[in-house]
Amino acid sequence: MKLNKILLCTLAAGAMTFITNAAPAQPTILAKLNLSGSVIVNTNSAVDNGSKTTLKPFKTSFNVKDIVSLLNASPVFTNWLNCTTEGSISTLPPKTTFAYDIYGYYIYAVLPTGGVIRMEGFDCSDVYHYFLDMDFDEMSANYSFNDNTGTGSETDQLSEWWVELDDYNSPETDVYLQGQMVLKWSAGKVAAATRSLSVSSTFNNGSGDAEVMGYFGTGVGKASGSGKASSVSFSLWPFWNWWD
Amino acid sequence: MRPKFIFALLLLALLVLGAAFFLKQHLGNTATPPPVTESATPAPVANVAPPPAPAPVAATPVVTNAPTPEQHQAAIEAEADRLQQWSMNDDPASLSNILADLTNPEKEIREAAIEATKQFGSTNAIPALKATASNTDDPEEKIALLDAADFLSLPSITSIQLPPLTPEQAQANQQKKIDRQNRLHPNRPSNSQSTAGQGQSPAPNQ
Repeated sequence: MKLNKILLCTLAAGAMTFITNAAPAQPTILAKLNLSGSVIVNTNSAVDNGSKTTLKPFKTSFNVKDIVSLLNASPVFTNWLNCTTEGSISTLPPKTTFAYDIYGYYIYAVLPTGGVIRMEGFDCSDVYHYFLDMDFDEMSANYSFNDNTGTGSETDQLSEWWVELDDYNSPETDVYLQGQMVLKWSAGKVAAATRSLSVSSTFNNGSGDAEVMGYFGTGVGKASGSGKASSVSFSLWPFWNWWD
Repeated sequence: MRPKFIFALLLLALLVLGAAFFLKQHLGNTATPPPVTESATPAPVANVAPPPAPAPVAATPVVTNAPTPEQHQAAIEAEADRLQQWSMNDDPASLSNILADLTNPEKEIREAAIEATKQFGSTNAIPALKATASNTDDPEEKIALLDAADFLSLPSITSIQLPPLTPEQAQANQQKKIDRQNRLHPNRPSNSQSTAGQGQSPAPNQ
């Protein structure tokens, strides 16, 4: 038993050290963000066959793996990552996923090891970069909460929710998608002072401006995912702190 | 002397057996490892015990008793989690697992499987997506399946070859970029790199 405690303390201390290096603040709950979409750009390269000139837009797709590849190909990103992780890594490893912090409004890279890295921040030259960013305009919510059991649920509809990818490469690729996000929360009591918390998110039919390797265009896409936390303190309101 | 020795030996054996039984009854629970719980903070958990590599499993868990609604939902979520893990791989077995879930009885799992095919990113999934769409009565699901097939038929944003911008195009794009950033993020510096050396924190997200 004593050995178990020592081991747990050691592991916790090691994990905390890693987190401190990787992200300034540990998110309470992260919801996965399975981003995918397509982009149409106009290359302005008309084809003239002598009798007819045609101009066709170029359509391409992206998913989470592509976002990781795009960022890793950008020296601005790799330098920033190297700085942010204090030299631990300079590229995102394969199987990296993305998730967002419901309470902190930040997007994180979730490494295969479980470590998390906030996808915006200053580099070592004090330049701020937003590699993956999100925000929303207005929200309508309805919730039901049982004061006696400490359990309940909430559904939020976020208008003009947006997510943006920017690789800061040269030439640059940047995709901005805006639409409605729906969040579904569920909270359950698990102990005297803690509760479980889960949230699922759905973002469909997002659309907006895009730029691929310097060429401008439009993008469409979606994102979905979920997250859970098994022991959140009762001192934290289980749903969105939307009155803040 | 000999019977006495045998009797003593038998007595000793009985005592050992009795002690073993007592220990098993009273101390057995303390050796049980604590139940694995999901942490609110993903880093420590995954650093301590990385998630196991996905292995082929039955699409629907087989249980002897009817599951409670909570257990049912938990099983769906567990399969959705596995689908996401498979979608990050690049091996045929993972793709095969994903495609098998396109026809799962649970709609939530089928939806997660469609998304997983997109995240896996292989054109090998296109025939299965189209075949499943042709056998689906749900119009929304049919559209989602065909959309996923179309998505996979597009070239990846990382693989396209576009002609380099001419100096004139690059020059013209600069102002366009600034206008775009001002329109999308009016509270943010028009170019975040303009804060270089000043140590300024941009406007918070919310």
